[in-house]
Amino acid sequence: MAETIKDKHLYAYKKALEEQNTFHTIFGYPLLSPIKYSFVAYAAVVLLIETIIWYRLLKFLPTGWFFAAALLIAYKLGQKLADWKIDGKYFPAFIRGWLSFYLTFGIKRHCFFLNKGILYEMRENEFKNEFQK
Amino acid sequence: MNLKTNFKNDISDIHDNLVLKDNGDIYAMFEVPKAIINSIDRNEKDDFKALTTSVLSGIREYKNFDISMIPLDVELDTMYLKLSQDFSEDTEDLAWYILDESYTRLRESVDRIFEYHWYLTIPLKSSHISFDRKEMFKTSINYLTKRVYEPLVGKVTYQKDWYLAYEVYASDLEKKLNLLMAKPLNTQETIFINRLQYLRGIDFDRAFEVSATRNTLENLDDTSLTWENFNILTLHNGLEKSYLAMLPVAYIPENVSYLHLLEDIQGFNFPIETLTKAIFSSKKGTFSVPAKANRARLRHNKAIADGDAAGGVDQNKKERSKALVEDLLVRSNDDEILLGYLQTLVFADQNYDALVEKIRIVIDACSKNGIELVKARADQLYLFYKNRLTQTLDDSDKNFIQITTLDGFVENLFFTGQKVGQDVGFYIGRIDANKGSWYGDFKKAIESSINFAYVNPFQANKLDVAGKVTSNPHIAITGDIGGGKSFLTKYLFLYSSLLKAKTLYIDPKAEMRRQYLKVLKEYETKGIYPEIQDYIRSINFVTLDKNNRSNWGALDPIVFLKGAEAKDLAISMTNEIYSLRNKEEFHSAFLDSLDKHLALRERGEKVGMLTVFRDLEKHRSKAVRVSANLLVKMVQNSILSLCFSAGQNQAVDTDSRITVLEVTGLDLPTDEKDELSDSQIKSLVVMYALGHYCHKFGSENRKQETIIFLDEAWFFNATAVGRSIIKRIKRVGRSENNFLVLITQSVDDTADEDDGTGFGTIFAFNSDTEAEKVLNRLKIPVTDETISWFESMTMGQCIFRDTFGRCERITVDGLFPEINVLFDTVETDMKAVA
Repeated sequence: MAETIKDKHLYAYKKALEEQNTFHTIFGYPLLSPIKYSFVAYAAVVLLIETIIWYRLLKFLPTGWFFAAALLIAYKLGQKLADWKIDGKYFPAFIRGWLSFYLTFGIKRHCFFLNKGILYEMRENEFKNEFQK
Repeated sequence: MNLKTNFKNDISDIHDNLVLKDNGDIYAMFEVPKAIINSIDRNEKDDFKALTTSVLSGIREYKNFDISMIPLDVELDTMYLKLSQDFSEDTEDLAWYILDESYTRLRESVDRIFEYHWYLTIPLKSSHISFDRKEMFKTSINYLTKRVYEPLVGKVTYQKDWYLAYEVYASDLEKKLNLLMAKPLNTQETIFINRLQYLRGIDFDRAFEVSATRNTLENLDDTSLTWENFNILTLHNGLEKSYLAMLPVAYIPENVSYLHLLEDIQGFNFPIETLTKAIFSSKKGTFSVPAKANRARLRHNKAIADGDAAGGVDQNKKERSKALVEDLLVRSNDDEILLGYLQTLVFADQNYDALVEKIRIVIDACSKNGIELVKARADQLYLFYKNRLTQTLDDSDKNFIQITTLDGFVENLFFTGQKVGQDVGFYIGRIDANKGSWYGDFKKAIESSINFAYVNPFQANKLDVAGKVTSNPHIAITGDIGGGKSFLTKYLFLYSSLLKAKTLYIDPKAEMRRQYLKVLKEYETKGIYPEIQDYIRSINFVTLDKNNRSNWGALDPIVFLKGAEAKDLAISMTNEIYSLRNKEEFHSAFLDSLDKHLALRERGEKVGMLTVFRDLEKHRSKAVRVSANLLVKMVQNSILSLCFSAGQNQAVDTDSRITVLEVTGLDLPTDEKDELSDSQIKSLVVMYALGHYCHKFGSENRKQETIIFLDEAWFFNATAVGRSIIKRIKRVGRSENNFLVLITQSVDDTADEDDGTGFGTIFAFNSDTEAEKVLNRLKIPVTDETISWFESMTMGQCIFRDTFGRCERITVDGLFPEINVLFDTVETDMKAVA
């Protein structure tokens, strides 16, 4: 008779450990679904940017209509950003890592190379030509 | 990006498998031979994972360890040169042609011919490891002194014999790894593996690179690195360059039972280096796993309490995360070993587009299994330098770290591989990594695999072969009609006949001679493949045709056998066509006459079985005369004339090195379960004689390897006498260097446990009704998965069980179309059937 495969109940805990903080009520009123703290931060930043754009460029728009649209955009974009992962990292962690890489190495990608752990500048000679072949 | 990573080469010295770093840390490097485990056998995998857990739990005190699965090139030419030592002189032109062409064609069919090697790197001494407090204090002081003095007086050097003090620790560690049979690397291997980190994807001369690095360790990292493509690095070594991508595993499925990621990675038909850096978690401390779990539990509890207060909306995910964290804490309290690990897949290629395509294929395949592999755009340099073999994880490494128990970790299935067949042999096909069906497209199955299987039937009975579980030389090839067993059989016959052995192929279907000679004529006309032409000419084709008078008696027991052997066969054959039961008078007279004629034959007289019957026709008893007359009539003008003759002709020649013996006019039943007709019984008698001829062929010269291919062998199992003949041939076996290849439809025909003469090697092709029987015979657990694995085999695929006890599904690869035509058995004039 054919044997069946049993579950060994062995788990990876990374996701469970990095689960984000959420809140379920606002001023004692229950929410339809829990909201991440990071969402609030992203929504606020988006709203701030929208407001600056409106103040600088789009002031001819009626204030009421603008804020209604801006709140909707901030809500949607805030949700997206709170859930957004790039290369397995949440958005701020990725940006932080990317900026540190870009400012140290990325910006020099066409004119530097690493050898024995040391950054060397490519001179306008055969070495650079060799690398760019 | 973690900028704390050290980009410089900090290796000061290498001695044997010990690596000394600038800060005084010492690493020990081992190669772990891969355990060959059948891809479908979960029980064997579970047993091996338990063993891995046991070994890894024993090295907990070392805090860190690295497991590397590195693809290294297979030296096909070296293997083929070794094989060529056994080539037979008369057919060596074809043998060399096959080796040369298979080398070229195999190299053209894949990017690289490689196999994976497993390495384990463990820090023997570092600031984290304390075997001896005094020693640890001394190390710290030394390191501090070095840091203070070096800027002032230049590089501080270590004593030349630094390794002597650590050999005891290294030996102790080696003992702990005994169960995995880990072997310490020698200095050259250690240098090579460390240098290889900087040469991925680049063509290089191994001896030169090792020698240059041995000369000065400054050369260890003498490779330039550029990153103009952000997520793909470029390595430059002299004029050579390659593209390199390091893809870390960001997330694995929540339930890691039977994850077997490393096994899946080996299934891709291009090389992927996999590096796993692990760190055992401390029980205490802010950054320990239990502390993180405690903090997460508080968060989850609060969130769930808030959620409950708000009406318990959308709580499932939170509840699951909380349950997982609780589980982690329970396991921690139960003293289960917890660890974090960084796993990185390394892709290298000299072609940028090819590299991108490989990455796409692997990311897609992994995501189907719930594994998130990321391009790590900002972390390529970090991953490149961090993944060097003598770097360890520390608290500053936070990205891509998986947290699990040791039992969960080993579910990756480390230190295993798939292999079947011999290390030195002819290429026969490829191991199929896919467990499902190819829906008849065997070419696709071949293209998708780079795991080659080689075969050399004559290795089976040799004693100095490590790892063999049986010396049984016999081979069984089973399966339904049309599955490809004839094709495989004929390749095995070809390969065997190219080696220093006498080869006999019994072809009861009389297919080979016609086809071989047809191909010979065609090649002669076109003037092509002279090696194949010469080979065909070297074969001694013997056709036994009852209509040819010169063949009469070629298999007559009195003619080709002597003494008791001849007598036993003569009785069996006569009894089969005319039962001797309850015919005591005839039986007695028959035995007397038989003895008389055997003695006459010994004296050189031309007598045979028909002479015996004619002699009995003159017997004084009428009953005997009638029986003898009936037997004479049965023999005349029938296929039996091959076995019952007046002794005027010689027996079949056994001197030729390659013989194909075919018998025309045999009436073999299409189904072995059918009741036998009169003409089929006569055919059976001829097969008995053939069986005895095979026995004689195999036992004539003990030192000479002989191999007999017995096609349609299930015919022998139709009767007890037939079965006993097969057993006799098999018993010649190992000590007399005789190899039997039995080709049959049912796996039942290979069952001979009662007398211990089973088969050391089995090729089992698909059989609609015998999945469970075949799996049991091959000692593979019968599960829904294994049954499906067997039944989904497409044409050209079979399960190959070798003398090492290894079992895999392979796709037989007819690499030589110019040879494959020899094996065609279907002739047709139809044009619209292709």
